[in-house]
Amino acid sequence: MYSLVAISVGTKIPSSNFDGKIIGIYDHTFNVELADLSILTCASSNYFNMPHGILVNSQIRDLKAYFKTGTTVHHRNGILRFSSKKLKIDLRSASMWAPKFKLESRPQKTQLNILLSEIKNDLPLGCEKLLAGPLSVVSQMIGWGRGLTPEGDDIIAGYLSAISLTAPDDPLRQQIASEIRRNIYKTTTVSNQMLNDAIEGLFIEPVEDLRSALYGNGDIGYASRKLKLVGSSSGIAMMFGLIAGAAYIENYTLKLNSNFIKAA
Amino acid sequence: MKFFQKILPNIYRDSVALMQISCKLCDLPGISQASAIMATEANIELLNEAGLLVEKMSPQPNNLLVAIQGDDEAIIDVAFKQVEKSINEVGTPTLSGEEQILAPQSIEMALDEFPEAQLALISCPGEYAEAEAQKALNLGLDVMIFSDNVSIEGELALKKYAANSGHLVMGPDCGTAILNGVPLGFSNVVRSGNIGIVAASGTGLQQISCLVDQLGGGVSQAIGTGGRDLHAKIGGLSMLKGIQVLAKNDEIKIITLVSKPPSPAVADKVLNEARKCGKPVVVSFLGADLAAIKGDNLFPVETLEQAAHAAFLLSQGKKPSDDPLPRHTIETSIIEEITSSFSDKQRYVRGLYSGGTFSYEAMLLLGAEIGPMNSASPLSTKHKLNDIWSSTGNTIIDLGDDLFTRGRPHPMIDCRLRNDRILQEAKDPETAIILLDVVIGHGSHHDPAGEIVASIQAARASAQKLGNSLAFVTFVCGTINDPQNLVAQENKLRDVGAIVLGSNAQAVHLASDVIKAIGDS
Repeated sequence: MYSLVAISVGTKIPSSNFDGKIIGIYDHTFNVELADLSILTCASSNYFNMPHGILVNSQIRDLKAYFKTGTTVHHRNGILRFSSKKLKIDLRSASMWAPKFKLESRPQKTQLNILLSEIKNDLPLGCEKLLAGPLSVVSQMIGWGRGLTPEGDDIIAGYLSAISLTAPDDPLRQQIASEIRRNIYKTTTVSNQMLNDAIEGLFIEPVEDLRSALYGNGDIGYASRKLKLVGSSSGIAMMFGLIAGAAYIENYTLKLNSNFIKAA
Repeated sequence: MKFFQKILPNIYRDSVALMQISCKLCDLPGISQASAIMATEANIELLNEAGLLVEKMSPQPNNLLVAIQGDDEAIIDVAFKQVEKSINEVGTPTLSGEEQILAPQSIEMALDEFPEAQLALISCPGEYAEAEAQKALNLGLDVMIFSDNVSIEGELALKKYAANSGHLVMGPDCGTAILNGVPLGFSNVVRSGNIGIVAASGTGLQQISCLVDQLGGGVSQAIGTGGRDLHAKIGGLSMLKGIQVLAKNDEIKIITLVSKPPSPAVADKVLNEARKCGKPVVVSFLGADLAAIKGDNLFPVETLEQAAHAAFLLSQGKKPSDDPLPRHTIETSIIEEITSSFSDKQRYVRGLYSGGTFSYEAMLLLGAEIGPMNSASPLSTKHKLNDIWSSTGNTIIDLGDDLFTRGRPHPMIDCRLRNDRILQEAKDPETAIILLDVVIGHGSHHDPAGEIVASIQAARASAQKLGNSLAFVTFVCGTINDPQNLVAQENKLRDVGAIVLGSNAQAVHLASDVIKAIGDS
C-alpha cells in the first residue's frame, strides 16, 4: 500500500470520521463526494489549497492506478483509506489552510485595467455586463458555460471575493447571495459548493493570493499568473470577476472593448 | 490417566474460538479434561487450579497452550490432531493460488484491509484488552470489548477518552450487541426494526431483543455497555453515549434501557439523558423502585418480558398497557398435578442459570414471592451459599459467573458443568423444581437443548430411585432464525417432559406458583 502525507487541509474538511466515494479523477486531483453531498478535493503538491481541499506532499500521477470512480473513501482519525487498498493519506500532521486577509492598501484603477487587459482576449461573450452592475446578470450567469465549474459561476465567485471585503450587511453583498441561493439549482454540484463557499467568504488559494496582492503588499503579477493557470478557463473567469468586484468597491469604471470579447 | 501439554508458538485465536475448540475436545471419547488457551499468566494459573498442567511453565502470552487429560496416549494423540485441525480452520491465512495473504496482525493492518470499518471487537486476554482498545480508539474506531478482566481504572480511562473523542466503548465484558442489524458476540438473529436497546446486561439484551422479535417487532441497534458501566466509578459513560447515539438515529423510534439498578447519582444522570432524548424510553432497571423513575417519555417496567412488550407496543404507536402480563401459560390443574407428584421432602426450587441477568431477575421475582434465594451471588450477603458447589433451600446460581467458569468454558458454550449440577440436584431429596435457561444464538452451543435433555432424563431416573419426581421448568432465549432454531430447541425440551415457557419471568412465576402450592398442600 502506498502512503502519502497531507501538507495542508482546508477549513471545510471534517476532522471527525466520514465516508464518501470518488466521483471524479483528473490529472493531479480527485474529488470525493461525502454523505452530506459536500465534495472534497484531494490534490498534488503542485496544485493549490481550497476550502474543501487536501494538498498532499507529492505530485500524484496516474491516479487511476490507485482507484477508480466509485471507490469508497473512509476517514478514521486523520487517515484517509480507500476500498481499493492501494493508497492511504495521512492528514494528521497537515496544517490547516485558513488564509487571514488583511486590508493594507487599495488597488489603483490602472492596476485593474492592466489585469483586465491581460485576460480580455480570453473572456466569454457577455461578461462585460458585470462591469455595469452585477445584480441584473447574476441569475443569468449561474450555471452558464461548461465544465465542473461553469465560467459564469467562476466569474461570480471571483466577484464575491472582492465584494466580501465590504461589510457583511452590505446590501449588494446580501442581494447577490440571495440571487445565488435562488438560482443555485441551475449549476453543477462542484460549482454549487464553490458558490456557497464564496458566500461564506471562502475562496481557492490563487483567488486569495490575487486579492491579497491587490489589497496588500503581494506580487500582483505573480498572483495573477497563478490564478490564470487554474483550470482551462476557471482562473481567467475568476480573475475577471475579482477585477469587476474590485472596480465596484473602488468606484472605478472599467470598460471592455467588445472587439476583444470572444464568443462563449 | 495421561496428561499432555504443548505450546503452539506464535498462534493467537480469540477466547470464543478457543472455548469452542476446547468444548469439542472434551466431547471426544476418553478425554476427561482439555483446554486450548493463550498461555498468559492468568490462564496458566487457571489450568493449574484445574489440575491440567503437570509440567511447570512460565507465561508465554504470544503462544497457544494445549493441555489434555485422557485415558491413554492414543486418545490424546487423536485429540491433539483435532486441535491442530480446528486451529487451522479458525482464522487461518487465506491461500489464493501461490500467493499467501496474511491475516492482519494488528488493528491498523485490519483497518487497512477493511477501511470502511467503524468498530473494533476486542477479544483477547484481559490484561491486553485495554491497550488494544486504546489503539482502536486512536485509529478512530468505536470499540466493543468482549474480554473481561480489564481494571475499572482502565475502563474509566477508555470511556473518558471515548467520550472526549466522540466514540463509543462497549464493555469490557460486553458479550452481545446488535449494530446496524448485525449481531455481534453472543447474540440472536432478530428482525430489524425501530427499537434500540442500551444494556448493561448481556442476557437482558438478548431476552428483550428475542421477545420483541417473537412479538413481531424489530431491533436494529442494541448497544452493550458492560456490566460495570453504571457503577458510580464509571458513571454510566457508555449508557449516556448509547442514549445519545440512539437519539440521533432516525430509524430508532423507541429506546430501551436495561440494567441492574444503577447507583443513585448515575441513575439521575442516565434518566436525565433519557428524558431529554426526545423519544419514548422503556426503563428496565431490574429491582429498582419503579415509582422513582419519573418522566413523560419514560416507561419503567419490572421484568425483561415487560420491557419487550412495552417497547413493542410503543414501536407500533400504542401506549403500553397498565394491565399486568399473564404470569405464565400453565393451567392450575397442571400445577396441581406437578405438586401431587412430589414427595413430602421435595420443597425447593433450584435455578441453574447460564445467564447472569436471568438468575438476577429470578432472585428478585422469587424473592418477592417465596422468600430470599440462596446463591453464590445473592441479593443479600446473608444468603450467600457456604459452598457454591452445593445448593441449600431455594437456590439460584449463575453458572456463567467467574466463580464457576474459572478454567472452564462458559455454560452457554459447554453444557457439562450444568449437566453435572442437574444430576447433583436430582440426588438432593429436597429438590422439587429445576429451573433452567437455554440461551441460543450466535456464539452459543450448537445444540444446547440437545445437550441438556440427556441430563434431564438421567436426573429423572436418579430422582425416581429416591422415590421423587422432578419438575423441569425451562425457557429458551432465542428466535426461530437463530442457527439452533427456537422451536426446535423448545421441542427437544418438551420431548423429555420439561415445561417450556416463553420467558424467564414466566418460568420463574410458574416455579413460584408450584413452590407456593407445595406449601399450601
